[in-house]
Amino acid sequence: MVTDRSENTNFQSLNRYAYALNNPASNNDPSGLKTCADDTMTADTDPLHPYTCVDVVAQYEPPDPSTNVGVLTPQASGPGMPASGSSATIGSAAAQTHTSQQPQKKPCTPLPHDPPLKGVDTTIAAFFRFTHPLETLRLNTIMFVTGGATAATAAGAIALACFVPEPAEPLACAAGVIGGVPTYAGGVFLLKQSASFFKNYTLPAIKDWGCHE
Amino acid sequence: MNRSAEDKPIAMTFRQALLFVMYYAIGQAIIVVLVGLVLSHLAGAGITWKGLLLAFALLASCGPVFAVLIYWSRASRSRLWPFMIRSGLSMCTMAILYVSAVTLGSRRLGLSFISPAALPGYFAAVIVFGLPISLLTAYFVWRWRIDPERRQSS
Repeated sequence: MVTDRSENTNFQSLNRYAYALNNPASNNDPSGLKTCADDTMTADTDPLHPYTCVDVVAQYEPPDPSTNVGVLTPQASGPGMPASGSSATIGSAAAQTHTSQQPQKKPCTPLPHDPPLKGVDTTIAAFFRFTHPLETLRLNTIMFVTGGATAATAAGAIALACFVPEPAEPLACAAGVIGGVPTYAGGVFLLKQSASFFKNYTLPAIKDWGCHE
Repeated sequence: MNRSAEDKPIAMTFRQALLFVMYYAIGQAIIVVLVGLVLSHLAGAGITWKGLLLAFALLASCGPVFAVLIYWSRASRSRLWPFMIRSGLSMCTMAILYVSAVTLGSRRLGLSFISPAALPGYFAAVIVFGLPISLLTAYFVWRWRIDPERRQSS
């Protein structure tokens, strides 16, 4: 029994009579089977662990039939628990009072790698298969700058061909309009797509920055 | 202070407007025929002459409106702010009209480049993005233009 538990690096898990790894100010453990370091607990259908949380500090594993010993296994570094592989020893004050806050990874929203091909945004996302928010941000910037430059150049062509010259040249103006208006419309369309893509993909990806590394 | 009609510069003569509409219609006819040939021969789409004619009519009908907008903008080309506002609004109206004509014309041909349901979103984008770009472009074009008066003075 001791051999099994001696592999644990959180020695408070050896104390079967302590609530929440003896750190009730930071941890929660309503069932006595799973210790959570936060208040983000939601109900679960698992009868052994009837709730889930983002920051699991320790979780009770069912007994092995051969030894009939259940183990409270530390899950990750968290409040009241030293990091795995630390040099803490039994009876050490450092191990007993270790309360350093390690940053916990938040659950990630999956990037739309394979969305159904519906709409221009999802088509772009499916084509490029982004794996990092920086990639979506880069494409978004390229779209925005290209759209703006295209629209501005086309608007300049129309204005120079039709609105300003003295005297008016109908052929030059017609050429400016035939070439300029579709290009200007295309530039504005690209700007619209850029804004839509930023709202639908880039902004959620930035909010999840660091999740997909 | 009223200026006489002789002092006021002519924005665009009727003959010039007519020539513009004619050249524009010829240009649109070339585009429609080319698109029709590409779609029917390369893409294998079932394009009819009636559909092509309807698409051309829609695109060509924008020509007179464009001529009026150009006349309206040119009428104020001697003053910066009216020129900016008028030409900016004209360019945006042109883009909206042209995209509407392309959308409806392509629907007549059995194609759907842009869904008619997406048009209001596009119009909003023209106002939000296109109008500032048009106004800025008109401003710089007016500031940097080389008109006959400046050419003589330099």
